Amino acid sequence: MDFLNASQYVELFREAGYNNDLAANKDPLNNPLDYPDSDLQYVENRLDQYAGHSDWRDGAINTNWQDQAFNGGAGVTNVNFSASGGDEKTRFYLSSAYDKQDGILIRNDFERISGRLNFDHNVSEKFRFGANFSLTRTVTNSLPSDNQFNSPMQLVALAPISPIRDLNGELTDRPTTTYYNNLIDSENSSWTTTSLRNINSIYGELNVAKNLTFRSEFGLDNLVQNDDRYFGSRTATGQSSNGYGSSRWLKIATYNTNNFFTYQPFLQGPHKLEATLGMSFQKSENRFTSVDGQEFPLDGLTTLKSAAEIVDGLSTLTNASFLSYFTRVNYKLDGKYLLGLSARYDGSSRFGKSEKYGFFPAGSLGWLVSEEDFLKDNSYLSYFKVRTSFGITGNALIGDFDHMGLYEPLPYGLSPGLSPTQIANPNLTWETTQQFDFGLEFGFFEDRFTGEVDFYNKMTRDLLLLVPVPATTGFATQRQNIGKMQNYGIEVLLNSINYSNSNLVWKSSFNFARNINRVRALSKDQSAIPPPYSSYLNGIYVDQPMAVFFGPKYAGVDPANGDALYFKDEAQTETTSDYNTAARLFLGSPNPDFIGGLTNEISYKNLDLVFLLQGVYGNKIYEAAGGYYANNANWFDNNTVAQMERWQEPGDLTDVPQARLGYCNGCSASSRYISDGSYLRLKTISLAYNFPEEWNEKLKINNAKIYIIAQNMLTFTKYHGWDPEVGTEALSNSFSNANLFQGVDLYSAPQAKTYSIGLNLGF
Amino acid sequence: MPSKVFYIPIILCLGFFTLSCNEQLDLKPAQEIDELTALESDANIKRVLIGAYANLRKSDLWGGRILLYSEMLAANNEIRWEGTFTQPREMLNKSILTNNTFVTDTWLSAYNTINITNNILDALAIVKEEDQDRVKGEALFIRGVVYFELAKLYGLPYVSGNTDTNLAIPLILTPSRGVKNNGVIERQSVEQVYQQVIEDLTNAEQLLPETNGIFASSYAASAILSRVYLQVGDFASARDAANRSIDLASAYDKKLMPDYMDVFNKESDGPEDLFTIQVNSQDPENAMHLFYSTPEFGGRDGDVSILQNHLNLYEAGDDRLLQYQERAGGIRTDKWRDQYTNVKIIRLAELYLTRAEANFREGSSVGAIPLDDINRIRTRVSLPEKSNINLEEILKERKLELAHEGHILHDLKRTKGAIVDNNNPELSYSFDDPKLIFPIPLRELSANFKLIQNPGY
Repeated sequence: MDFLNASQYVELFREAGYNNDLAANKDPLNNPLDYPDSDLQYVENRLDQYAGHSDWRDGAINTNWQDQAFNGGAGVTNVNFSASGGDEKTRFYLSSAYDKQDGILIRNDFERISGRLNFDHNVSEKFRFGANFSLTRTVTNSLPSDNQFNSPMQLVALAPISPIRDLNGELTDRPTTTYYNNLIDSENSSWTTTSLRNINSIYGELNVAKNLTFRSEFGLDNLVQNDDRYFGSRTATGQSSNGYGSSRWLKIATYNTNNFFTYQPFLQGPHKLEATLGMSFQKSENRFTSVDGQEFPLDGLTTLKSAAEIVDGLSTLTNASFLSYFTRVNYKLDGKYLLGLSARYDGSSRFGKSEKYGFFPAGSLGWLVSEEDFLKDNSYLSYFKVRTSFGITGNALIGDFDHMGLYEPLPYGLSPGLSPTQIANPNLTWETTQQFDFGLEFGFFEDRFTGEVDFYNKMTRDLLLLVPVPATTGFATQRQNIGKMQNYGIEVLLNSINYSNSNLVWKSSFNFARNINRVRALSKDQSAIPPPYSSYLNGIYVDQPMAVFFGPKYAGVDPANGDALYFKDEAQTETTSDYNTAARLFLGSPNPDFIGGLTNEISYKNLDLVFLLQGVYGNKIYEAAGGYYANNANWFDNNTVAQMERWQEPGDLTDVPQARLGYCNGCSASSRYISDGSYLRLKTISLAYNFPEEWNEKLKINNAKIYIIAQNMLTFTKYHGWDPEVGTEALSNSFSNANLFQGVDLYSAPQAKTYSIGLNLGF
Repeated sequence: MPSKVFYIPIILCLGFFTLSCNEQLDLKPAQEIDELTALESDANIKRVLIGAYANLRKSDLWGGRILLYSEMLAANNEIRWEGTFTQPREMLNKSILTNNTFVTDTWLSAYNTINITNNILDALAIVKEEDQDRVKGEALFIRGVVYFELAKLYGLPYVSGNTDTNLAIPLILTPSRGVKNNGVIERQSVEQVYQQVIEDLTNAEQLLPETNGIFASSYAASAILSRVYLQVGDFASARDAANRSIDLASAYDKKLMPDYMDVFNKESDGPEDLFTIQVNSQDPENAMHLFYSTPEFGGRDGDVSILQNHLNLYEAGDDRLLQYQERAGGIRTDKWRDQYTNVKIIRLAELYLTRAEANFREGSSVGAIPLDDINRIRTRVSLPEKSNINLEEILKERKLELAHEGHILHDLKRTKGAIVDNNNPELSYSFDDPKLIFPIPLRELSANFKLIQNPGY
């Protein structure tokens, strides 16, 4: 995205102030008496302030703050090493890897070292056991979330007339910069997140009797994460308190066990049967501890030992558990007729006493048509299968104690108090999804061309939603099971070997998916859960896609006076400049109409070339920060170059309203900031060289590969923002539903174009 | 056969898991307790009462924003919003969106606080008898002041008349546990809401201890009550409440500080404070500091600047001019300069001004003659004593003494004044202009079909 340069900035903001003056019957340009009290003078005072030691009138300073936010040479390094071996009784596999990646933004990088060991041993014919062990350490230089002033992307808000450094070579800050110059964070803060994750599992498998085995698995996933932050005495965070530091520790331990019998009787004739019966249990425990302190003697001492004042500290514990019993039966007749039946009985701690358990059965049928006599000798069709299934699944992805009416500690004046946080819903229970699926699998010409096509229809009931309740109850929302949501669509996967001989192989793989999502019902008498915040547009509406954009529809600019206009009625025949009385309309869906991908792999002798194209079509993206950077000079945030198209005089035809300082002329959340998110992207292109056999033998290795990968090299899109592949950070909290803020871009950093060189070694 | 040896413990183990796992599904939160436990004992209810204060102190209530709203709506080209937040700017421009998050959050926090007080009042029987008056008095104080703030912000002014038909806000006087009838409820009239406020605060004044540390006392209740009576134009009652508060507070050594600027930026209550919101580094929110102060003092970027028009109102030599300092590219008031200092809610000086005005209007001299009360305020800031006084001068003294403390909008409304537009001096808003009240938040209208939107939205 392009932002205003210094002379454009000066032009637009002086005009914004002058327009206010004209509206108030003042003309400071032509009547010097009007000048002292005018908004034009106010703007010029601000320009003086933002220019610091320089003079905005001579245009000497022209800072591109956006460039400052991005890392010049984002690089990636990775090295892998693996070895496997063993004998008849014992097998092992071990690997280790190292990755390092610079973020696209300054102050952001990532380093990972990992190791893995898998091991299996047969004690006897009847008993075997094994274990997997993995350990990963990552070190990340972290950034605050995108909506914080010290997020690098927010540098784009600073005025291009502001110098980066003053005459003494120090970074400028407020009042010279409009907002905090967070480049100071680069010099005067540190924020490192170190995590250690250990995933272990062991299993034992016993042939209890003929055809009957028992397998028991136990796993432990342990994450320990430490977050050390220090904001020095020059940063916005530490400025008023001689530095601000924070040490945070997170420990998440999850253990699980699966125990099940498998029965595989040896049946006479065409019958094959496999049956499973068992249980599983999972419990996770999340512990968090943090200490914050301030008043540090100097910026070189950053651990909290040095803080003269500890201002905040806490520890929390939360946990959840799941218990399941399950059974599964698979039956095969003649090697071509398949039947599967399964059932689960799942219990979760997240629901009230009488509502903990859900029952989830499923069944499937399959027919391997290509095994039938009438197709068996067919030379074209090598594989053909028809399958269908129906089943119910459950979802408990909510807060750990959402069913309870709760009070939390909340102090006042250093005395401990209690305050309600949550309204009870003892009836809260599982959200369920009924899914029907019909699919075809096929292969032609000895499977040179294969594919799968699936049609599905899913109906989710009793959605676990946070439902707004009248605040007069004392609460904003209640977690409820309400409504119905449907997802139906088609998925296609095609694989083809286009060409193959001893030296050259060219394979392609194509996938396509179209999903249609509709909310079918909410609770009784309810047809909408409107957007929870004024600056966002995602809501939940019956017969619309989940998280559909809903709000005022921008109708462009009144050619007569430069007012931003919105449609006043549903038919979109009348317009109004009053945002409050604009009709609230559906403004598009963040869900794409379809997504697709194409992978090509070309191998020539020892060289492999792979490239992946991916695309998304028909989704909309809302630029939540548009009101700040594309607001025709509402306030002193730098604006996009497109804002120079603003309305200036009667008769102007444009989509950018008149610039009016301090008067939001079209800057509120509306379809003005929604644009098409469709894109086609060359996601990955890689070239690899596999060492020839004779090299491997000399080097005493199994295999070795050296490769170069480039990511995100090309993107075709009409999206207005930085990057259509937005990954919105979790904006949701207790007031809103998880996954509601889809298709929202709030200063989201674009994906980096990266090149990396790697080496894989296998022993 | 070795398999049998394994077989038995496996079955036992499965059985064991099934039994013990069932219990494993009964988990309890570690940071919260069940609502029934919170209200089951004397000790716990007193903790909930502290929690009611903790909600009242939130930044969207008395933690500062309620004061800011008054200043923004009545900016009168004397102050200016220069920050990036659009919510206060909408108030400055008198073009508030119905989904303005400040307007919404204040509504949410207010009713949350009211619900806590209703829960306490409902559970009063469990409180030890000797403490019942105090607990009840504090709960009524908090409920009364929150309804008062809501009535002023979301309803037309009392002095506009039609108090029986003009709508204020819904009145909830019983606790909600669970959402009954979807929680829908109508707005009550301005009259009904003000009557409830007066009843709550009158009862609170009688029940509360004369003095009560950082918590609501009898003199704080009568002080706020005098403000309510001023707002409804009942000057005799305002005078009497102010006089009761002055007398009682004085008995507990409350007095005007000798030096005006010593009143502000304090971490603990001073001799002049009758009620404040406690702020400290453990509990740092103070929205007035955040928006009025500047980065070197831990504020934002100097979001509110004071304009020369306001400074011109002071007489030369007025010590109150010392509060104005040039910082962060504009004139700032030092009343909210320092971080971690209390939010002034009501201080003794206001009561002298209220007593003076009410005595003057009633032609009485309860407690003191108006001239003496005004001169008390003037001499403290090094201004010469007046020898006679009129209403206009009393109101001006009040405006300057209490400037930037969240009074201006409500004083202009009750005195049927007008507010000049910041940009266009030819444009002004009359005291009863619907643009000077908040909309009912959009989220509330969609959750409660019985609510009617305010005129002008």
